[in-house]
Amino acid sequence: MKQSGQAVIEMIISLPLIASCFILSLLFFHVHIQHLWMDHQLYQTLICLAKGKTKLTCETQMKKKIKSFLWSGQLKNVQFHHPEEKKWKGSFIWKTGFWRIKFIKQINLKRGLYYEKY
Amino acid sequence: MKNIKPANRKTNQKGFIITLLLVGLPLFISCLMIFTSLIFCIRNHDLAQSFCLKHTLQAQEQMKKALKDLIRLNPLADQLRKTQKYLEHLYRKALKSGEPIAITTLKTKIKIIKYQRTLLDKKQKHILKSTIHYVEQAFFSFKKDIMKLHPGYIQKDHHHPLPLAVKARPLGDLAPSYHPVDNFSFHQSLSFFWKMPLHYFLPKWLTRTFFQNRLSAYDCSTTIKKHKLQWKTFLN
Repeated sequence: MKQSGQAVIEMIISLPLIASCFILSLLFFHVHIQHLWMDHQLYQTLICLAKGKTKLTCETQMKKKIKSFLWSGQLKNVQFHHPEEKKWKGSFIWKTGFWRIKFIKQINLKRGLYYEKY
Repeated sequence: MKNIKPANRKTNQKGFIITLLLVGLPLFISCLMIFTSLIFCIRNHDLAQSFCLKHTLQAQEQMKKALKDLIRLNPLADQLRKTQKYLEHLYRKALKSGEPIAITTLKTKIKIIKYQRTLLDKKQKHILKSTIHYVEQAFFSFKKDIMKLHPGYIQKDHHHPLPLAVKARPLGDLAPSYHPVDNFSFHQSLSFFWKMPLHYFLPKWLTRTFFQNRLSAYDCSTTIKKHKLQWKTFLN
């Protein structure tokens, strides 16, 4: 009787522990991938602009791709600049619940810096 | 429930945990596998893209310079060709009139012009040859950078037989003038292609479902265009 009680306690402790580890690690990976995906999309949009396509086309494409991957939250303050020849800067804010993440990126095809965060 | 002995109950609970682990662990591992593969793919894709753009653009910048140098030599090539034609015409006339001094002078002058044209031809051929080196160097550097990331299938593509899409006029002549071919920017485009062999370490259904070809393969293309009377490199 004593032994079976111990087993039940073990099960009660271990099950939520395993489950929470499982959920937490999945959540961590999910957030990491979301972050990476948005970073990737911003970079792709800058490349799209560098190819000479219009801001509207590239921005629409970016929003579509981000929304196909993320089901919650919204994009805010989407800005693109072309300060110099062969230099493009872009930024946006991803807002979901309490979370507000700002993504900033620039590409410079002239100086040989093709992929940089600033 | 009351009929189950405590020992049996304990074994049942242990069995339950083991079954749960047996079901949950592969599920957890496969989820982790998908996530890490996705992270790996996105990172490598962006890096490969930046390497690709970097090296093709560098090659095109060098080829742009070569194109400018070649075009800059055209007036000299035209002038030397015309001078040689004129001198040959005078030489034929001198031969008919039979003036020995004029014949010798013109012969020497023609020889000098021919020598100058040979030098110019060598210069032009050297510029054209160096463009092959630029493309090969760019492809080699791209390959080297990619291999640091992950080995994969790499290929380069060029629409014109020569790295610099120019044609000689007159064809087959010594030191001809070189001009960009029709639809130059199309023929001048240089593409590098890279494919990550995901099927080596991921099951096929997973690569097809989650990654398709967009993240595991990448190609970039750059070219040279004339923009506002200036040659500039562009992304295709």
